[in-house]
This record gives sequence, C-alpha cells and structure tokens, in this order.
Amino acid sequence: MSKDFDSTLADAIELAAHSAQLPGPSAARIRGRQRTMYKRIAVSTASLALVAVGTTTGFVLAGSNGGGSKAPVVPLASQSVSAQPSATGASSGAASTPASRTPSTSGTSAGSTSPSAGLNAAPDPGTYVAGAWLPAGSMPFSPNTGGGAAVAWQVSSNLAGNRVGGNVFEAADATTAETLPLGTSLEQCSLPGFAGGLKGTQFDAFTGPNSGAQLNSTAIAADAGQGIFFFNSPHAASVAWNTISAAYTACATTESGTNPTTGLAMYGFVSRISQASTGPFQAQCWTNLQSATNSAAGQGTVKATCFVEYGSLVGWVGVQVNEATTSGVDFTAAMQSPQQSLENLISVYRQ
Amino acid sequence: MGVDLDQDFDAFYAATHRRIIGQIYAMTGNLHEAEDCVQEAYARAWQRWSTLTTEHGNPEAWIRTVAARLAVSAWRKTVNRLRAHRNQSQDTEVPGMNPDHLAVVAALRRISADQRLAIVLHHYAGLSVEEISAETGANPSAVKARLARGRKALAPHLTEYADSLAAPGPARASRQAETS
Repeated sequence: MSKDFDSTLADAIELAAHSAQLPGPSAARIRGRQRTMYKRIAVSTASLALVAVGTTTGFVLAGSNGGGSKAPVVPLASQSVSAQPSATGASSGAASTPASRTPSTSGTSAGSTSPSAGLNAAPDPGTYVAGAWLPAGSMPFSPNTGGGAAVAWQVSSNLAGNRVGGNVFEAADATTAETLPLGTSLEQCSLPGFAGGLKGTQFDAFTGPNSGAQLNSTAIAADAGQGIFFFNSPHAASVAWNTISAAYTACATTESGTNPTTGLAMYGFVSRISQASTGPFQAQCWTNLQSATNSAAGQGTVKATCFVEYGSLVGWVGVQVNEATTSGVDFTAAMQSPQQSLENLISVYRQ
Repeated sequence: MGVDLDQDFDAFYAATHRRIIGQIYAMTGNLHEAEDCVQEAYARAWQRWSTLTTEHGNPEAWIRTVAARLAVSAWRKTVNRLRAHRNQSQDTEVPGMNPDHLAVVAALRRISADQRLAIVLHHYAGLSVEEISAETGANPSAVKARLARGRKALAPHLTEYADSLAAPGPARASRQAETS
C-alpha cells in the first residue's frame, strides 16, 4: 500500500521540532548585538587602514600593479565560444556499449583563441574567473549543443556554497563538493582520489525550464552544471583523474542492491561514453543510472558528465535527466560540444 | 519602548521557533545545523526587529527564508566563531524517527535546495504557489516547476510514496491543481 508523503514529512518535521534545543530569545538578542559589534569593528579597522596608508605612503589606486604580494587575477574580456556540435555516429543511452573518440585537434579549436590576458597566479578556488564558465546555451541539450533537444536552461541560484562571482560558488569542503547539484555524477558514491591534494571546488548550476525540457516521452532534462576541482599540483590532479573510471565502476556496484530503507532492489549502471587525449587535455565522459524495480515513477535518474583534466585542474560539465527511460536520448552527442567548450574555457588558467 | 520590543520578540520567538527549526531540519537533515541556522536568523531578525514587524509584515517568513539560505550557504563556517550557544554534544539524532521518516528526510537531501524548500513550504507549511513566490522571490512559474520537478526527483528515492507524490490527496487537491 502506498504511503502518504505529506504525513510522513509532517511527522518527521514535528519530531525534529519537538527535539530541538531552544537557547532562547535572550541568546538570539545577544548574538544579534555581537553581529552588530563585529560589523562595526570591521568597518573601523578598514577605515584605520585607509587612513594609515593615506598618511604614510600616499594613496595607491585600486587595481594597480605596484602594490601587493600577489599578481592580480584578471578575468578574460569577452572570450567568445562557438559551440559547434560534431556529427558523429555516437551511440546513445545509458545502456550503450562504450564509445571512444580518436584524438583529434579539431575539437579543441572550436571557437577559442589564446587568451589576450592570461592568469599568472596559481588557480585559486576562492577567485572567480568569468572566462572559465560555460553559459546556459553551452550546456548539454541546449539548442546549439546537439543531442536533438532545445532546452533553455535557467540559472539556478542560492546554491550550497560561498558565491565567488557571477553564479559560481565555492564548495564548503570536499564532502560538499561530492554532493553538489550534479557533483561528480555519482549518486551515493565518493571519489577517494579527490580528497588528496584537493584545495577547493567551484561550481554553478542550471535548472530546466517549465516547458521544452522533454527529451522523449518520459525523460526530462532537469539540471545541468559545471564545476572545477582545484588541486595543489598537476600530479595531484592526475592521481584524482585516474580514480574516476575506477570510482564509476565501483559506484555501479555499490548503487546496486537492496535499499535498506525501502526494501526495494536498486540497480546501478555506468557507461563511459567517450574518452580522449588532446594536447594538454584529458577527457572522459560517463553516464550513470540508478533505478528501482517496479518504480511507478519511471526508470530513475540518469546523469551524464564529462570530465576534463588540465594541469592542476579537473573540470566537469554534466546533465541530470529525470524519469529516465532513455530510448532515443543521445547523451554522447549532447555532451560532445560542452566537453569541447569546457576545454576551451578552462585553458584561461595558464598551466 | 525597548522593553516592549523585547517582549514582542520573546513572544514571537516562543510561538515560532520550534516550527521553523522543524522546517529547516527538513532542508538540512541535521538537527544541530538547523538549530544553528535558525538561531542565527533570529539574531539577524533582532537587529532589525522594529522595521521587520512594521514594514515586512511577515517576520516568520523572513526568518525562515534567512535560515533556509544559511542552511545551504557554506559561508556559515565563518560564523562558527560567533556561536554563543553551541552544544558540546554533536549528537543530532532526532528521537522517535522511524525508517520512513529518515527515508523522506534523506530523499529531500537528494534534490536541489530550491526544490527542497518549495516542497517543504508547500507540502508541510501549506503555502500556496503565490505565497512561496512572495517568500522566496522566485516567480510563480519557477515555483511550479520546482514543485513538479522536486516531486519527480523524489519519486525514484521514495518509491513507496509514488502515488501520493504523483496524485493529490483530499486535503491538498486545490493546492496541487495550481502546480500541475
């Protein structure tokens, strides 16, 4: 017999509410006054610093190259990326046999020129670089990126992280990075190699529109996004890179089995849809599917993610499809252009 | 005047605090985190209490929105220094939760924060699409999409609740019609 979601949700919320510790309104007032005090201290300190600089050394214009111990990070000025979908005979769907793409140089030259102002500083997960981020129109299944769909992705704001610029957020920690809106496209799996030498993660996200996100009779393009893992060194990035395929394979196994909470059989399935080595870039693209038997809601969710390794960075771009009966959905075609665009943009970081 | 504000705030706190914590718990799956986010939201509300009650009109919605944003914001780690009431115990288990409760809370964690908030506001707090729109700042069509997609995203993880997620119950029929 089907259970009632609203009742169970209400019970859970009310149990939590009943169990909650109540520090009391006085504590809230004290905390509020502390916030005000800290703000005033911060403003006063900044004012004192400006006065000190002004009286001893003369004012230094913001953005000049004369001061500071760190070279300024300069976002690229209007780097254009033309997403040119490649027509290939790629197989489609999560159940296809893995396809590999022979290395070529054409894919990486699409729409990009050498940056007019490169970045001299080491890639910093706390610093926003506008030129490294794909727009909504470059996400999988967009009108210009192939895959036979025309999804008008919308920016998804209020993400779980610290906004660094635009709609890009920095993840709180490695655990958070693995559970992002798309994260690494692994449902409940971890990437053990990613914890070593990972100094930070940036990500953004897009959601599908109210209409026009249908990929076939049941599949809906739900979410898309991009991320960049920042490692301490190219070696650390390479170690992490080598764990991806093993992690996906292991994840398919761990995703399969009996859900201890629901008692239903779950099936995990992964497929590598492409891999390539082109100049300074390594790329690998995967899909993974998690579904339950006799699911009234359909076949579960499918995520397709392309990873790109570039120096000390591992970038990804991906899509999540709900109600994923994937007949006729060409993930390979949909991911090809975003992967190439990602290579173009991530190279804004000089490596 | 100051005493009046204190008493007004105290009464409001007593009437709303537990309710909001429960809702934010559904957002985070962690009771301690929910307690902290909500307490921080009340602290911020206190800083602007007089204007909040006179100009905003719905302090509870304001606090819930702030707490929900804090719950998904990683900058909270810097607020750790300002926690004046943090418990020594890190135990966040909620007594009385059965596997069904845990499954629902865990499933909510698997959908986006926007969808999660819309689901909690609609399915638990009983807010209409327009009310959710006013509280979250998202336009009504975006709220409808979040609710529809949120339910569909939950369904694979809550297969035993598929019918109730897919079809409206008697008490929610009118609200469901808004989002279908």
